[in-house]
Amino acid sequence: MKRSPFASGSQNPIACSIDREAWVEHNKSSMETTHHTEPNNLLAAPPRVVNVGLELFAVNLVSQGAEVVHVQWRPPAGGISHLIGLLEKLRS
Amino acid sequence: MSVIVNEVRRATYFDSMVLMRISRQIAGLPGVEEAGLFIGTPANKDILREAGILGPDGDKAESGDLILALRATDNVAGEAALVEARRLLDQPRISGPSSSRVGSSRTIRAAVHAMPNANLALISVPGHFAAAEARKALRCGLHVMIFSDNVPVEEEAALKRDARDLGLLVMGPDCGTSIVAGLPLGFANVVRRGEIGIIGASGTGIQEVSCLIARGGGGISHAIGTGGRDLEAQIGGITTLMAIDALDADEETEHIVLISKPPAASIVKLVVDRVAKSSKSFTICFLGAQDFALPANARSAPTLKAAAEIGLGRSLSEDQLKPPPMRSDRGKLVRGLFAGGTLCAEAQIVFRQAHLSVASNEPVPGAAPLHGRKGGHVMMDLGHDEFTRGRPHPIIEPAMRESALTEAVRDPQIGVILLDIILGYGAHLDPAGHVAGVLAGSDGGPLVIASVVGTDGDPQPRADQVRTLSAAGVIVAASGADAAEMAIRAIGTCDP
Amino acid sequence: MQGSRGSPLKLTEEANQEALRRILTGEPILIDVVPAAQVIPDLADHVILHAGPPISWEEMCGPMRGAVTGIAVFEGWAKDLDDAANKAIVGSFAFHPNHHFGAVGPMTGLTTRSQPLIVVENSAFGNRAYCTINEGLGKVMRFGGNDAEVLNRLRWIREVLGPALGRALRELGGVPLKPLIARGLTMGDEMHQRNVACSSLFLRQLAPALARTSKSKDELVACLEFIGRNDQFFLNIAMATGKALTDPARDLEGCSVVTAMSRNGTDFGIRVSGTGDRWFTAPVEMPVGIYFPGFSERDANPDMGDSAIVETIGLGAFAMAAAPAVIAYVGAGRAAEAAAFTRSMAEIVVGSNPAWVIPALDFAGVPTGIDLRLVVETGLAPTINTGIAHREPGIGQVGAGIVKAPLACFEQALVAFAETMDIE
Repeated sequence: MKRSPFASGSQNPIACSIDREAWVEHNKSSMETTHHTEPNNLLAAPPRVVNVGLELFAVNLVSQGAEVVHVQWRPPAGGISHLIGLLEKLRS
Repeated sequence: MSVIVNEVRRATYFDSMVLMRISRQIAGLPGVEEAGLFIGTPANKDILREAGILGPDGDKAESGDLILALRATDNVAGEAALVEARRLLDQPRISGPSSSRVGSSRTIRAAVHAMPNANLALISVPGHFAAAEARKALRCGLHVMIFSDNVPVEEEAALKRDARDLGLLVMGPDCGTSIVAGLPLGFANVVRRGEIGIIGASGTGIQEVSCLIARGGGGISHAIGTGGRDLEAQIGGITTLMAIDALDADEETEHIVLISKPPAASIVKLVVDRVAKSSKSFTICFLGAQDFALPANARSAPTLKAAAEIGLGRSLSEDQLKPPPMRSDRGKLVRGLFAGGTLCAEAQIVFRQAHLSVASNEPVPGAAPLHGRKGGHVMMDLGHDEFTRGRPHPIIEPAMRESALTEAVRDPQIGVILLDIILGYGAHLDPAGHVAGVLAGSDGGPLVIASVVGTDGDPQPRADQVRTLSAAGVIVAASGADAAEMAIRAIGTCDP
Repeated sequence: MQGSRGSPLKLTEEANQEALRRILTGEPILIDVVPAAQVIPDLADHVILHAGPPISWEEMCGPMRGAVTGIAVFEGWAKDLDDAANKAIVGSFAFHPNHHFGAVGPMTGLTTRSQPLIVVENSAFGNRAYCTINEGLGKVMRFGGNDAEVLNRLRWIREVLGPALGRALRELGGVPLKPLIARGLTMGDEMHQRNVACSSLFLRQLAPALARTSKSKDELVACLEFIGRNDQFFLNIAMATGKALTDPARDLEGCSVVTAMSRNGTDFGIRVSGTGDRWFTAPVEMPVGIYFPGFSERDANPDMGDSAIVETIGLGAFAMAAAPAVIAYVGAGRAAEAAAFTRSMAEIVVGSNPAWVIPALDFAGVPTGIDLRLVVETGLAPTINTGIAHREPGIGQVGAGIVKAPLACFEQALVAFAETMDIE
């Protein structure tokens, strides 16, 4: 069943960043027991791509039957550097 | 007296390819000497400044603004060109049938929300912004491929360290080519799947090796681009080492080919030590470098062709076309005009192996830099920054090579021209046709020897491109190295 | 320097989740209609509450001034409109935003002591919010109308309709609004430009109680007719609901959720939870839309009203996918574009509302909890569905369309918000 992009529930689209932290913590503790981290999940199957920037790449990927979402990218905060700086610090 | 005309549109962004297309159209208008439409990042403002078309208005633009800049013979021509530029910007973009099937979002967050199983971000935004976007992708648990260049090296280092902590791979910056689980990413070719993995610091290097292997009957498990600087000391090979880990653990991969220009000795040791720990066999192609200690499971390849041969386990030499003799009324110089920097380097290496002097704008060890040199064999990397800043890359737009080609054809000192024709996704759909067009009616010119990087599975099937070139009198060699060798045979062994 | 609270990201993420939780768990009930002075004790004579952030008489646009002079006459503070204008010029009236007194009002949005106010109680948190009763369409005070017809209607509302509604609501024990809005969303309403379904559902629920409590058949007929012919009757109830739901989310430390968006015809103002009651203002933008026959952009008044509180809780333009008919007002749009607006707004919010779902989007909840950081980062300003007033007072609505909140409000707010976290 196709999942709605904004599935009902107080789902936080930025939750991925919090999940990520938990992931890092978990990963860091398991890193002690392995020599290197292995990004195997990248190689296991054709990647599902988030394309950020040139639309040409998304078009090419689609024509090859790949799963891709295109991000119609714009400079963050209209490119205003002091706002970009604030946003980055607020994200730290 | 020329006039400089600038207009700034606040908080306006357009894809760089769209802007380049419009820039070239405006530059072709009557009375326009130079034109450029760019996002107002510092790097782009430098380009405009150097081109002599950045005025005080454009200088005030911020990174989120769009600068329309041009230089015209007079105000009338300038104003007309500005009007046309505005019209081209404002017209609805033509979206092909396939582009309407791509779901789109404004942020990486929303994209991941729309496709929760996403695992890779392909980033091709201006270099000024690329590292920040890459970080957002990492935070969402995505591996990253950064096509963008002009990312400060400190940002690359920090990004790769953070990614490593998260167990995520950063391919790039300046990574033009990868192939993951059979999916070509960026500028890449359609190649058979198989058991040879490639890790490359160069896009065109990956393209040539993957295509040679595929055409030779072998197959590629994955080709991981690391970006051009990964093996520099400041980065320390983070991505290369992680890629070795990944391919080591990958069941599809049995042999790994490493491609790079020669790294510093400390990095060579780092890489070689890691290779030694692997249970798989390796081919190490540090282009041009031969003298470093190899572990038992690795062999060294001086050229891309050699790397493909070792990977395949057999020679790729076939019945080589014998080049027709050169015309006696022409000089014996070889001029290489390359879109792929690594292919340019490989040609130089082949010439050096034959003990021939050669110069280049990107000289390999043993080759001479260009400036001040008169005469002699020259290999030009036309895809290098000095030619591509603010202009489309010749792989995308063969016209960028046109004037160099025309000039070489007309130069009576030049007996042989070497060309690389690069196919695949992202490349121009008919580069052979373009070359054929330029060469039409140039009887009595130099021999033109070309290598065609591609496969019959590419959007521009290799066989068709070869046919077009042959019909135009171009001699098509089996590989870049073969083309260079053929050029050497054609001029005899005389050092000019 | 980050202070001792830990990472700014973590603080804000947690605060935003709490703000969203509060908005989503609110239980708005329409419990009563009472004279304004009864619920807002500070509404003395000569006090006039208006829509939008603070504004002075000199800065007010035509319709706002028309409404001010009209209401002054209505309340008996001036002999006639000219007298009222003169009194305004010399500062006889005290102007304050509705928001400062727990109220909201559409368009000019004037609230004064004797007008009957809708009372919405958020039973989950105990807070209340107020709004005047919607006067109907055409020549009305919220568009700056102030002639005898307008004032007479306001008198009838004060003397007949308000008390009748109050009696009926008290007898009924209140009308729960969350499920009513949920139904409206499935029937093509978005609660800003389209309220016909909710207005109908409301009337259906209230009519028996009105019948039981009305003083006479004539009064009942008049009330039913008045409400029944006003497709936008529910707008004011939806607005009070918006205020009732967002008020508990105010003043949360480190919270970047927008708690109010509002316009006074001159300035657009926003409030953000983490910066408390500060208004961040910038000149309003001009709406873009479709004009009724005989009118055009030349006739349009700049954007006005507290009704953007509806977008602040995920309705209005944020729920446009539920109301494709509204796209007709935007002009040259296809019904599929309605969904695009909702998807776009989903990029700048904290979450979505499981109680208010849009069937056309696979029952996705409306995007809720505008995140200041995301607005600045993406440059996607909140979109608002709005009516367009004539710039001359008293003529009324001349069109409908969409307008964006000015990014400048959010940019200023971000700087102030960062300061609260010791970030510069």
